[in-house]
Amino acid sequence: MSRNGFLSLLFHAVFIIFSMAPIVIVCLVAFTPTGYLSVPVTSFSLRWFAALYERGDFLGSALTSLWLGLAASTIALILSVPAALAIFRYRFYGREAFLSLLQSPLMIPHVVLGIAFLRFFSQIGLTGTFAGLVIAHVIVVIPFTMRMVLSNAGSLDASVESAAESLGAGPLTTFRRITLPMLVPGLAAGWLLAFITSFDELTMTTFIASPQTVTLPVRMFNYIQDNIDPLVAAVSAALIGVAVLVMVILDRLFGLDRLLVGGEQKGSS
Amino acid sequence: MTFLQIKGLRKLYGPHVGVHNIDLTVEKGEFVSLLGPSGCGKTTALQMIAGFIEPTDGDIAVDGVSLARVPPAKRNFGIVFQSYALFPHMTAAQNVAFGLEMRKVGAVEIASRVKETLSLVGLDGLGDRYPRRMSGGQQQRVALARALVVRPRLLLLDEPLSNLDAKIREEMQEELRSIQRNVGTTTVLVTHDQGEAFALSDRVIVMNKGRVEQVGHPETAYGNPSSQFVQNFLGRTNVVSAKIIERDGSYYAVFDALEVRLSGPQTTGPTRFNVRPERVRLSSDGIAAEVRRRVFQGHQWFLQLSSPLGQMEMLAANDGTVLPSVGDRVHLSWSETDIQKVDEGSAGT
Amino acid sequence: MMASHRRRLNAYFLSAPAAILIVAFLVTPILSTVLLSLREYSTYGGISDTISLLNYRDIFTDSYFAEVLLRTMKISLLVTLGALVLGVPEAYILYRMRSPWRNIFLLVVLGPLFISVVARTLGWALIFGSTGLISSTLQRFGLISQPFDLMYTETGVVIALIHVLVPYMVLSVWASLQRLDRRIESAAESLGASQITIIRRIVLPLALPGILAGSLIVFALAASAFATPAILGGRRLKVVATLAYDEFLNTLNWPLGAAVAILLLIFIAILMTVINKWIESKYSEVFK
Ligand SMILES: Nc1ncnc2c1ncn2[C@@H]1O[C@H](COP(=O)(O)OP(=O)(O)O)[C@@H](O)[C@H]1O
Ligand SMILES: [Mg+2]
Repeated sequence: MSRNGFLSLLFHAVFIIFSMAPIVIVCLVAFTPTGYLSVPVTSFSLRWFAALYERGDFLGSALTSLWLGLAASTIALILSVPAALAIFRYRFYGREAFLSLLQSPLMIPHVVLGIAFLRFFSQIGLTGTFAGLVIAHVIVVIPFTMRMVLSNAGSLDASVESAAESLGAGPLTTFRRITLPMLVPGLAAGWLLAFITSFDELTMTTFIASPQTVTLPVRMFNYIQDNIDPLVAAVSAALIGVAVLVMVILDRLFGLDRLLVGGEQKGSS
Repeated sequence: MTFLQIKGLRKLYGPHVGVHNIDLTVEKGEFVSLLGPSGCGKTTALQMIAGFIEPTDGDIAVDGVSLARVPPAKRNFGIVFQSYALFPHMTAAQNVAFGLEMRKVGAVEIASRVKETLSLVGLDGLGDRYPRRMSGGQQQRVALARALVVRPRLLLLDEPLSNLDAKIREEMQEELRSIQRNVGTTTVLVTHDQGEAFALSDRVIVMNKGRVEQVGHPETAYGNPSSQFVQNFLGRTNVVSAKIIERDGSYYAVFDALEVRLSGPQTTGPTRFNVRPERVRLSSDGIAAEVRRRVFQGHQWFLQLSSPLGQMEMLAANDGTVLPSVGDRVHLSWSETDIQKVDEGSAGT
Repeated sequence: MMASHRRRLNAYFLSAPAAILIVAFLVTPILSTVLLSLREYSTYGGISDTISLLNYRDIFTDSYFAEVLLRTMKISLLVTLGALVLGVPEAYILYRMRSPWRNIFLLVVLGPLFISVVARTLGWALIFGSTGLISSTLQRFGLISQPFDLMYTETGVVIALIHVLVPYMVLSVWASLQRLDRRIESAAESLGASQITIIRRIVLPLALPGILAGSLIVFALAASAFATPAILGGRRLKVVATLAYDEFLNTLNWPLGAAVAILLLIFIAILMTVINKWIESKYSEVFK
């Protein structure tokens, strides 16, 4: 196989610059000492981060987002494990439909989800509640946890469970001592993927967040509608930091390319 | 004393037959092998004995007690899987200890029995290793120790050695046999390798397409195959046509220029015989043949010859005798104990 | 048999919680929205009980909606085109990279998927604005005299959306290239094929399903994009998603907003199921 030629590398460089530019700019502006936007940035200060801390509203929203992400991804995971095991182990009536139903939130535009939840929550009295937000986010992230548990279960060797059984372990013991520990890396990766998805969700949440439950992306969005300044760049820079952290952990845990590319294989090849 | 008794065991996968009416008895302490080509139903049969697959028909009993209502966890069998199926998140010692924990054995006893069993399989001092940091042979030993430590009534082995290199496989064969002799556990081995089955077992059960073709001691099955399938599966063979004649009250099989005297009365007329390559001899007279190909195989030579009977194969020990080379004309012969009448009923396979 | 009956019960028992959640909180809300879109709305009377297709008729006859619809299509097509031009070669370049670099750059290229769309769009707002990077650079070199502003333009929205969505294209093409045996290329090369020929005759046909699937995903996500057009397009440049948002939260005409949403849902569903099936059936034999 031949190496990439000069033109290819040039193209690659342009692509990387294009892909990094807005992210780098956000981080630079976040550390600007001036009160207005100016690029290029020549000196650094933490003034905008201090301002963020003093304002408190962004911090409050960050906490809302954090709790929301923790709750939604944990619930989604708890529901996904048995569902994925059922799909993986058994051939039952409605199995295919169940699987595509669980994957369907991926295909539904989030505007549509937002509208549907706003309407539905107003009908059943969940409007503006944190519980409503959690339910909506569980729906949005469940395809991710499902997919991770399924692809992990796919790599489980069924004879390992048979081995445990033949050694005298009942179904519950086998699950607790053998199956679950073997699933853990995939579960952790799925949970984290779900968390970051929930943490970043904006479109659907704008419809159903109340003033008491404004998440961080929604607060940023509302702020940007009125003014674009280094303050919101500082929030974004913090978010970028969180994303990088999550990415590194996911890469360690699972391999990022396997995580993003390898979710599709269902049957054996 | 019959220990394991299988009666009319059958498994259908939809309309497809996985295993067809198996009847089998195994004595206490015996080592038997289910031998057959891939897809013949060996694993299915073993999994039914283990309890992981429910038979469509038939019954399995141990010590006269039917296992139909006994779940795998309660059968107290030791199983070694082809993939080893070790618990990847546990060390070798933890793997071995698992079955004892399930039996609520005390911690002190667990420790001593794990140590003892690991040393039985030759893994002294490797108890703290995780499976992924062990070689295939070592993983194999852990799997064996894990199955043996619970003192199972029956040991079931599904192609346990097929993932190992040829050399380690032979070592493990010997070791497996001596461990089984020492421990005395009744053992059922599944394999597609006749050499392995011959080396290890007291009896082989040759299977084909879900059916049992022959049950017997290894030498009997090889030397006295009950069907053409068994004949072919257990080794290379020459199928040669002959005519049986009667002369002065004696019967002879006539192969071209070779006449072989047969004992006992025979039906006269044309027939076919199997002759194993290692039973074909070079001699001063007999069937005229020409050497077509000569392959050196280390301890022996493989010769391919053309003769009036058709293409023939023979093996000659590398014992220092001078062998003919390609193009040489030779004579072939054999005697009654070297040949086996073709079972025309199942010649198709 | 008894056991198989028990196994089936087991399966239903295990999947029940997730199934109940999805039916109660996804299927029901969507159906409720479909019903809502069939109601009529008046500024004073609010939502009436009569059922009709009035909202859908309005959408298809009003020139304002037509304009928004056309703009959404145009932006989505341009974004898909841009993602193709950038993403397909980049995926192939990544595929040909050697070991440490390949993983590093894969991380760099796919990483933005983990970063909030708001943060990424903000970056483009900073670059595009009249005091932003492009404008000030061009002014400094005397290339333009007036401050230059891509904010609130279709061009700006398209560029930012390409940036947001191109990782999906790279991912999809990369995935299909993974199935390409590297030795095939070497074999072709040893047979005397030129680099161009290898790409045209071997790489492209094998990557085609990935390219098509990637285009489909990018197009669907562009057509339903909300945050980027809302921030960079402002009130002037409405697209379908921001239009539905407006009808719901500003005009408070819920039935009309619901109708817009349902139309978008149907459109995306057709795109993702029917066309996806067609691509799969057309190319499935390549990957036996
Ligand atoms: N779960 C199953 N469903 C349908 N057919 C099966 C199943 N398991 C095995 N078979 C079929 O039953 C036959 C015997 O399989 P197996 O017992 O695995 O053979 P062996 O172990 O001798 O290679 C094969 O033809 C196989 O295709
Ligand atoms: Mg088998």
